Amino acid sequence: MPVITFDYEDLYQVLETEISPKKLIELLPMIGSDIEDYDEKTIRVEFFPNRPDHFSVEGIARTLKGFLEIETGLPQYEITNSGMEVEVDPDLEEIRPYIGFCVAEGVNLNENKLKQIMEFQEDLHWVIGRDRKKVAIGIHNLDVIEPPFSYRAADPNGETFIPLDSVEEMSLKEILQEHKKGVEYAHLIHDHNQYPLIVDSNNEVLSMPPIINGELTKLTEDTKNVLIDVTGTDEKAVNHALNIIASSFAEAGAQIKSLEIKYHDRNVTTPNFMPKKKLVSVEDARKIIGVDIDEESIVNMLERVRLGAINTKMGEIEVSIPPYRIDILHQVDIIENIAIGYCFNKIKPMMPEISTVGKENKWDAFDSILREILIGLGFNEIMSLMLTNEKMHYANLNLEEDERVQVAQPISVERTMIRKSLLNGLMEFLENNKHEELPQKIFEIGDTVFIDNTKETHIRMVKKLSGAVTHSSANFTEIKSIIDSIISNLGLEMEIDVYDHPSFINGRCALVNGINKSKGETQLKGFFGEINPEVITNFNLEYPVVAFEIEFT
Amino acid sequence: MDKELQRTINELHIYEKKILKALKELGYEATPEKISKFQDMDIKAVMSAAGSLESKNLIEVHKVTDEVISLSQTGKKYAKEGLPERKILLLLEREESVPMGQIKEKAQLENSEVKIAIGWLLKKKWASIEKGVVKITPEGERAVNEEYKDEALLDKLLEKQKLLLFNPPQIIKEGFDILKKRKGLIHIKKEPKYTLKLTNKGRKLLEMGFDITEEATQLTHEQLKTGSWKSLKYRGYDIKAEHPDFYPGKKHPLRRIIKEIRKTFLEMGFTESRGTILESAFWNFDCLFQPQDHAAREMQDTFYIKNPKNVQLPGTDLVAKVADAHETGGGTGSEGWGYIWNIDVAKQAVLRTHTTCVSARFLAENSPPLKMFSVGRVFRRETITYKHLPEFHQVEGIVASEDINFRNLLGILKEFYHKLGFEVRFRPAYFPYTYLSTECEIYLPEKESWVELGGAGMFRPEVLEPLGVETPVAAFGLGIERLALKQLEINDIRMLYKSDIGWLRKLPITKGISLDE
Repeated sequence: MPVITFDYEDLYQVLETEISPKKLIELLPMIGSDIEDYDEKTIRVEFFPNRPDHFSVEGIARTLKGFLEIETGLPQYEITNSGMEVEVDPDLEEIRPYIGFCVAEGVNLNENKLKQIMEFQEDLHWVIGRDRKKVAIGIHNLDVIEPPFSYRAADPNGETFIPLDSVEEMSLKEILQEHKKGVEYAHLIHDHNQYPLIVDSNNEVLSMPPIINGELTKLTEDTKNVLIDVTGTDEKAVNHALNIIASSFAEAGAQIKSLEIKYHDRNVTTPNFMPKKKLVSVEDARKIIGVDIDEESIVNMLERVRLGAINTKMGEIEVSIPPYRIDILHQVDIIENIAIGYCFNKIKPMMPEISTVGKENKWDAFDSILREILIGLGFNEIMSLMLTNEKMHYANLNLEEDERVQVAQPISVERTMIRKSLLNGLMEFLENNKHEELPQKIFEIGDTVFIDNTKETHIRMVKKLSGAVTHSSANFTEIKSIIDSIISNLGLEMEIDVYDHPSFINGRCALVNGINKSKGETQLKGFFGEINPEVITNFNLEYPVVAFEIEFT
Repeated sequence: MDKELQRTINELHIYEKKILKALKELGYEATPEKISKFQDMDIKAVMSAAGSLESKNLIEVHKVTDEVISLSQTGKKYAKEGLPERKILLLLEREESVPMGQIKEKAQLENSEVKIAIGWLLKKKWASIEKGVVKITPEGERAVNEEYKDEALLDKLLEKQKLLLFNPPQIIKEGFDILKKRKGLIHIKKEPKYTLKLTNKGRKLLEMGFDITEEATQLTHEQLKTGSWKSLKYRGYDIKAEHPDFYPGKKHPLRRIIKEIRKTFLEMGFTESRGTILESAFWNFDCLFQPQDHAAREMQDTFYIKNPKNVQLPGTDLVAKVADAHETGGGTGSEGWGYIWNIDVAKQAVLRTHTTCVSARFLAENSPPLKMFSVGRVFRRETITYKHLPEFHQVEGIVASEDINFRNLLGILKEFYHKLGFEVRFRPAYFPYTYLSTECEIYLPEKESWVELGGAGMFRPEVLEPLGVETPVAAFGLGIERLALKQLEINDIRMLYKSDIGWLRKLPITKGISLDE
């Protein structure tokens, strides 16, 4: 999630007042953020992806003004018509169809501000733009270009311009192949025969979205007037991003001017700062927050969080939502904003008076019984990861690979599949502890996963219990006594049979069933014996190991 | 003091008593050898009992390291046959002067001896060499019937085998000074000599008096059966002596914490549920109103599965409603996300990234009012470090009722954390499937900061409406391992899954359990 870094001084400038860092540190979490760290000068704060309007210091200041009661309610940004037009090429329909523009006049830039604008842009690219796929933003020096502008599909080989941070002209194709940003984002357009391009009336290139801007319109500390373009594949997202960035410039004091976008079939004026309206039920708000607040207070809370609010006096509040707020999809989101305005910390927690009877899940409750027996036998419980790999799970135990849950993109060769048995976890544990005092007696109770196409999720979870003992004279009789005591303490009878299991010494392994005589049911099955010396050495161990594994049916 | 001495006497081993008695008889001070002889005890037993007496301050053990000399094989030969220069002297006594070339043969010397013998002959001034002829000196003539100092020591060593070099008579010292310059005649060994000496405490104890009787150590079945225990004296033990360590079988510490958490929710009237770790993207994401292009759904963060790649979806009615909620909001009163929902994306199998899917399934199958919780493993595509694991445990809970509200949700969480020993505060947060979303933070005094420990909120209508739930639902979830690190006071999350058995054996089982009321 985006982390915004700014100096207190930057914030004070927009706030037009100072507040103590201590107060800021108290307040910021309560508007919905997580403070990463801070020092005497600078603070780093993480904001959530539902509030990209907080990704700039101007946006943060706007919300804080409400909480500090410097300025409340819907922010009023005057917007005038620039008279400029943008022609949109119908050929872009299949490539990157939507575009929004706006002009911000009278911006005040310095080195620090330029850096912040770039970070702001990148955060929006990531959160709204899904790494520029859905939305990409360009900001240009307006004073070096001539309207009207056009957004058109261009021949990758036929057109050239000097991309940002470059000195020579490159063709669009060359940019994708050679420029750093071109290579990074080529996958977004290289399948098309034509690439998007924004040019001015003299055919000077402003930008090749979503890849790179032209060097011509690069912002400097002397830039006074800017042109902002936002292109994308989703019109709603394009307008959201444009509104957020435009209103951030407006909050800093710039004059915002709109442009006329001329698609082949319709004309649109951007940006559109008309607030969205929603009604919220006072009763619903009170009931769900659980706090008795009157209508007037609700109006105040909403104004604190910079929403417009009018009491309709009919049990509802009419809420005006500014164009940069993309998080409000439903009445419940307004209720959340009332609570934020009220301040979460002021809401007194109260246990609900809903009486229900607690009930353990049998699967989990059964674990405690098994644990009691094994601990009584002097075993130490261990836990291992369910993600394992074929070498540990099969090869080291002398087993053939079979059907299993396999991860598509593992984090490493160590974690490629989900376990079907607990044995390798125990053996790895013994390997990790080979220098510790013997005897070692360990067990694990855990879920294993088997493919089963008859189930909705195509798998079956099987609970297993596995144990291992190692010391200089560990032998078959010892593990047999252990198994017998587990089975008889579960109230079952032990039945054993010969079994060839490649992980064990031939002739020193047995199949075991736990039978409930009165029901005539087999309630558990498994195997036990002396681990094969080859397996022992595969795990780099030097003492005999006896082990068992049982599953419950 | 007397009482303490009496206890000390009671704890004395029979060997210790014998040594004390012997010291009394031998003038309060003796060597172990003497005591061994006096009490007819093995020397090793004397030394071990002496060590024990010393630790009780009853005796002092003085140690002197002394040099002991003895003869080598060659030394013995010379002691018996005489030194080679003596052989030449005797030859010279007979012949007065002998040419160098004939010395070896006439004095019957080995090749290697000649040079050394001549050297010593000259050094002892028994002869002189003039123009290749060896001649006896007057001093040599006198020496014929006199034992030189080194020869005296050789004789003595031949007779006694060993000599202590501690404070030797002048003649021995001078002889030793000469002999140690000759290679290979004598061995010099350092040997410690001990003297045992009674302390004042030891004397007092002897004054109090004690008997040496046969003592019993282990009480036996035989003694109990025959009644012989009545006449036996059982020696008291040194209760502060070393003992072997025992390690009981134990629950895994994380299991113990999970058990506490389960108990807490059961006490609050919650029903426990569970689900499978492999889920469809539908249950893990779509059903929870997480848009299909949401960052958390990407391959970078979520484990998708190669086998089984796709799984089944639940009934078409639920699927259609979820699709509508995403696209337009459907009948939920929401605007929806406004994109075209893709059923194939929903069919993909994933390792569940949270246990919230357990809550969603439970809501689809049960009617409010209800309280449910579940504890289970969840998976995130994280590389294994001290801070992160690709799988960890989460506890998830929901309360559904006509009357449930946000304040109640905070009430449950406050109570839950309070039972685990933490004070909490709540701040706004964001999750795609809740509103009034909040993060619970605990205060860490040592870090002077708040640390987030879990998320909560009210399930959104876009989640509830397709599931057919008509009441509000409060929901919360938290990662257990982070809590466990705090409670177990460890910094490395890997310790929980790749444990050191020594740590497990020694970790007190009270660790991680809050004993506060």
